[in-house]
Amino acid sequence: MEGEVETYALAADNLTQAVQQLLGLGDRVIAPTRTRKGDIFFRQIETPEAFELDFGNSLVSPVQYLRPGKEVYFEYSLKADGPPEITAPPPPSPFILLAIRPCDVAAIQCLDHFFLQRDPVDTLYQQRREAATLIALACVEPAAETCFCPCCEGGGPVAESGYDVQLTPVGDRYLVEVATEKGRRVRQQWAGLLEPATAEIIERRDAQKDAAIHQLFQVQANLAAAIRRVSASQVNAQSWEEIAQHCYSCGACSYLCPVCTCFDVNDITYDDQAGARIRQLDSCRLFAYPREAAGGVRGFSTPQRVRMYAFHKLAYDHFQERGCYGCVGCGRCIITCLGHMGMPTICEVIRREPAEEAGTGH
Amino acid sequence: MSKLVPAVCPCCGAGCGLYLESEDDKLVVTVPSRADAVSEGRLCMRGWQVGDMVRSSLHLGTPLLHGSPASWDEALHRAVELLQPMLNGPQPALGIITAGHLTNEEGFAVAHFARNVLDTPNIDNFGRSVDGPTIWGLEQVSGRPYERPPLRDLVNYDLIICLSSNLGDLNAQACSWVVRAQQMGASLAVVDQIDDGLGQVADLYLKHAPGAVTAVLRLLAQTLETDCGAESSADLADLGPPQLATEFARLVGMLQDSAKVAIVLSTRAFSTPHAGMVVSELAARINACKGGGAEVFAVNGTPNSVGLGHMGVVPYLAEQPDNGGLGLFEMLDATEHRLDGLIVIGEELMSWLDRDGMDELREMLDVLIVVDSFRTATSRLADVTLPMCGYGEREGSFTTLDGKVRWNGKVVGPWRQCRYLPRILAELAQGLGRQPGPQTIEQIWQDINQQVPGYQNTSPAALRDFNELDIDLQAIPPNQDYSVVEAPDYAPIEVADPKKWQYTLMSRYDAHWWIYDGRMWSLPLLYREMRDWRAGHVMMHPKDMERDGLRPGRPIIVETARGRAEVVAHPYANLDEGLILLPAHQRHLMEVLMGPARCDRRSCALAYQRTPARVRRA
Repeated sequence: MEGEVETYALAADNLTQAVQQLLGLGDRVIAPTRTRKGDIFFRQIETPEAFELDFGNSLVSPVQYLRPGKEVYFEYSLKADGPPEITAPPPPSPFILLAIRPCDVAAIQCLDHFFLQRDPVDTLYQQRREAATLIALACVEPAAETCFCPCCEGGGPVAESGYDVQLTPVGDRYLVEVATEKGRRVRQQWAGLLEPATAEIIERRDAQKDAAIHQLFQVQANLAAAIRRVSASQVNAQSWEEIAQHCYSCGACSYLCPVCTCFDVNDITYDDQAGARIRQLDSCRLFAYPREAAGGVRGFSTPQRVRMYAFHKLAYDHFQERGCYGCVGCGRCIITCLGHMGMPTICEVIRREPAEEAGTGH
Repeated sequence: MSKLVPAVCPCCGAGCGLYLESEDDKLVVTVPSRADAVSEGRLCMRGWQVGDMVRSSLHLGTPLLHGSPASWDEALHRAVELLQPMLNGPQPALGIITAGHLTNEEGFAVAHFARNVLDTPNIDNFGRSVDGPTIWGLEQVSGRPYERPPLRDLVNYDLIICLSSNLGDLNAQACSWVVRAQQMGASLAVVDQIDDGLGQVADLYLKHAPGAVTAVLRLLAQTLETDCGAESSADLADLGPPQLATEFARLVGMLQDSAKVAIVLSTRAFSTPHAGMVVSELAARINACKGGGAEVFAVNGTPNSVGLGHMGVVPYLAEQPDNGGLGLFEMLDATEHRLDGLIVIGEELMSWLDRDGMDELREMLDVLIVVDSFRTATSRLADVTLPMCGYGEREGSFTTLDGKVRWNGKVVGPWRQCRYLPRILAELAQGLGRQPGPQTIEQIWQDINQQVPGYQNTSPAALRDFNELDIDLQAIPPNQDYSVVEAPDYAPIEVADPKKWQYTLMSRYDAHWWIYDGRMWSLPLLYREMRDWRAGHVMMHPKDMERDGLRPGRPIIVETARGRAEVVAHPYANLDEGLILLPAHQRHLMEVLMGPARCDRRSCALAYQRTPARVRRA
């Protein structure tokens, strides 16, 4: 956050006009939209009417605009009379991610840490991140029945940080929080629509947030207990076996996880003369994830891969490095798991095993 | 701005809905669909990777003449040159084999090309190897076209009897619904000779002797015949281990306690009419006992074998039952030499024949023409290879077993020189001096509406709008592809000299060979693994391998009274000791070691006799 968070109020009736004014900024506006089939996707909108406000949350996280499923490192084109021409993709034009949920804001903070706060900085991510303005839409109730963000460190239906602007529905208004310079650019655009926030609207927001956390979330995940056991190497082999029994090695949990960062590098051809080096999301749950060049590693079993997933999420990268969980409680893994074994169930299996059997998993 | 189109996964017959998303016509990714009634946002490993398939480095970009790039004119001219003499011959010696993942529109064009241009009834699709026979068996007993309830209905059943413990490999989405149903309170019974995973989480696992599944199910139906199994006295002595009798009695008890019973049958694992008939009989018996409530959930292995059957990509047409041609297995049988020329569309024959079988087939054929989106082992052997638009590059529909026509959108343009299959066929027809068939989706649908029963109220415009529409499966005449085959009752194999023949060789449809995971389409490195699996291989219990000094991944000699073969052995702990599992895509190897399939060649893919065997290091 850059300095003090400014607070304003926006009449709910003026939201459409606010979206219209965002479109006037000249940035691409990427917002939840509904397909004819009924699915929600964050897509570029051209009119306020395309913005779907009643959307719960999307199955594919809007972080795909910062960390796409596939992206080009460089393209090459062979030349008959000289060295090949190598072209880097142009930097992305500025865009606004409108109405992203607090869990996805938290996920972007994890991605920032992974891609920007390590050496070397990931320039592809950096370019996208710098081009992005994040306008969060806080939840007044769980966005879906699979949500469990309050169980995650620093998580919850209202983002504490990481956004440029946050909108929280409070009765017939939105509480508008402006936290960064990018956010102030949006605030200027909305100048005619905003009024100073009253103490009452802030109190009401806090009260409805507490009520949501304590009364409305159905899914509970004891991540803290699971992290303690995983970090202390107290999980036995039977637990990984039990989780693996339900794992189809499809990779969906990490493909849809907004926090996951693993990618694979591949070369593709466009034709005989041109091609590209790309990176694409990878998953530690796939059979071949640990395979080395020339097929060196084979037989890395499903329980071992499950263990790697859990250690990565609950210990290594996030908790041990940043003190945060590698899970933001969005619940997408619950929806997409063929074995119906999302993070809360994994935590439960890890947590419940008897202590006397511990320590055999390593 | 990226393009996002709805599609149906082409990897099996579950019919999972998804989206394909593309940026700049170059990179394509798979996106799951939460709103889809089949998948609800879940996809298996293959579904997640279909986006990679669209713009794969294995994609065929130009026509090939004996493996060398050629122009379209050259390739079409050569194909016509090869086909023309055959058209003028006295007997139709030409055949067409298609993949089970062609769309209805492509299937209609292929059927038109076979019957009206080539004038041959020898046309079939690969659904015969994994779907057709079982579905026919189900229909034969019930007397009506089979229509599977939606998979999501599984959660409404009290007892689920699953006949494949490797359902997660064969049809992951169906397995996911089975597990969901169990979580919601259904009891799960798994009946299988090997437990490949589902047995471990089931409430009851009935382990039977290899090959005895239909005998066990028949006995179950017979037991229910008397007082609905109140006094079970079934003799299971020969059908499995001693505990089978107890487990069988428990299953009878579970059946008596359950109001609604689902029998889940992966057609990939049971591709014989006999299996379909036995399961259908069992369902009928349960219904007779309980006054209804039992359903068969057949899950097919190919995405559009149902629709291709409707479009005429089968050797027997319902309205012309006497005009039958050769089926898939007959066309591939090099020992009989029934064909001189073969056109293979979208299918990799190596996935059914092994290397030796491919060589034999090529030797038999004077002409082999391949039309495909990918460079395949089959295309390497072809005289002419023509590149066609594949998944995501053309629109089209699939028909699924639950009576839906589902639409696949087009997310990118044709890859390099690829052309739409109906256009390729029309160009060939013109070259051969025959009347070309319809070439565009709209033209094809005009003909489908007029000629294919059940499809009158469907159109591409409506499918583009709604993604899926119901068709009237009951209006479609049952196919005439098979005849009733009485399979012999199960009998244990008797071995005269057990010391000499220590092992029993058995075949099983094993999905591992095509589950390559995420790098399936994108890494040339994977060729190595594909080569390993495509080399002849068997699986053995690790203890057997250790005792006989066999090393994993190393060649061994497997010998039976019929023949011997050098294969690679892989350890597989789920097997019982004393068993050798021969993954069933290796048809040639099975014939060498186990003899021909027991049933007629038109319908029996897997019914190979269990065979005594011995092994040694190569």
